[in-house]
Amino acid sequence: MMPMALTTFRVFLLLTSLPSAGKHLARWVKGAIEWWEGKKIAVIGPTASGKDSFLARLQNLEIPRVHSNSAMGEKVKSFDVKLALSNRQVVDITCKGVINIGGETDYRDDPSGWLAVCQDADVVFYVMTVDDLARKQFLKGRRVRDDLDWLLTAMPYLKPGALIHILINKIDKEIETHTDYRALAQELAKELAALDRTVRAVLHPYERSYTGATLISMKNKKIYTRAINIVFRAVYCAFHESETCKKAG
Amino acid sequence: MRAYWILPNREQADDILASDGETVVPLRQILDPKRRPRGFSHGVPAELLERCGRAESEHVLFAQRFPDWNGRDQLFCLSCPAGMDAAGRVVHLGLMFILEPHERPIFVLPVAALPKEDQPYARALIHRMTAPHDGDSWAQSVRDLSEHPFKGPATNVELHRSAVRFHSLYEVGPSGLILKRTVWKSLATTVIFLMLFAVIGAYLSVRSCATSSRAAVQTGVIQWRFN
Repeated sequence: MMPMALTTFRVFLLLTSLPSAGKHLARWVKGAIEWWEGKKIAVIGPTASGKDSFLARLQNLEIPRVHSNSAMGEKVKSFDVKLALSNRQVVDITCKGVINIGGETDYRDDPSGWLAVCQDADVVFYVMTVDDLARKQFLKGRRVRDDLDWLLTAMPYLKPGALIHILINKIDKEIETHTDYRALAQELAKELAALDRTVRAVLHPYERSYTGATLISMKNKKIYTRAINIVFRAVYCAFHESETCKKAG
Repeated sequence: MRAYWILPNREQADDILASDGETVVPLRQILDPKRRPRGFSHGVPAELLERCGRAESEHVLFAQRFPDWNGRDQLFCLSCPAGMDAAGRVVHLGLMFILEPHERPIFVLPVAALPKEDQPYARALIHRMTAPHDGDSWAQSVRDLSEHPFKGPATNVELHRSAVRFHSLYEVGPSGLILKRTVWKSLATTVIFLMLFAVIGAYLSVRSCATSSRAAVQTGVIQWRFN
């Protein structure tokens, strides 16, 4: 037993004495720690916007047929998100410490509500609906705008480098009720541009954290698959960009 | 004692509404979100509805008690499922009490000011709490919570997914709500571990004596040499 332990220790000393071994070892340890830590995501947004459904989709689960208006913050068991994106990038993250929370403004303004959910998150997904977009809820004094104002005040307390992505859910309903898709696309593009401008203006000077807004449907798996590819590509690129910035800095 | 209904959010509105039995106002006017105790719930947590299944979930009562929540009063909240909203999501009806430190909730509050679709749920809730029958273990658990001298935040039934830890007396078992046995379980586990350690200790001491090359007892004269 003793000689074997001695040999192992000698090998360890030999390895650490090699010029780049220390660096490799540190990188390996850091990588292992990061891997274990996983990524934390936060999902917030008005009530009935599809937060529960998004969490179910991320876990590759079907949307529950009967679900409940979230009455309190509930922990979601850690889960893996493994996605091969269309540009051959691979998203492989372990979502840990996710808390499912209600969308009523009471939860937003409760210090142990949205803020606690977002505080350690690497990515904050804000879920709203196409209806919110059409009714211009992002204008001053309306719900989405109030949430964006809240987000700005929360930004200094979020994790440095945390990203924000807006998901505009229930696009399937809009498609079903329209026949002139070109007109619908033009209308949506106009509204999306207006939302984009508002978000950047409201989040200033933190607008770099905003990675865009994507139309999505949690209900329609085909639309969800296309949309989530766009979402994660945007988030992935933003992460990569911030990493490059850190290295350059 | 001050008592309020917390109304089901059937319209998927941004604000949770409450009523003192006469008028309806946003809950935030009664309970400021910034002063809400951590883990406060305006309804039945989703994990309870999932664990109980569709049939049993209609009977679920969820209660929370926050003694000393604002440094003076205690907050007691009781809720039950109250049908569904337009999207088919379960919504909740609640009864919230702001109590003096040694007060107990009295489950009586007018229902006339509530929307018509909420009134049957409100009447049923009051009936369950004021005219209990033997088989209603959920109502019993709420009464036990209101009478048990918990010092910290407590719920009538154990939660596994809550972001905040609560004391509780009951848990959801395979056949419904049952009294928790964690105290007995932890005692039994401790006794088993102590016995196991004792057996291992005895075995090791016997073994070390048996394998030692030294005589069990040495006799003779010890000579001390001095240079």
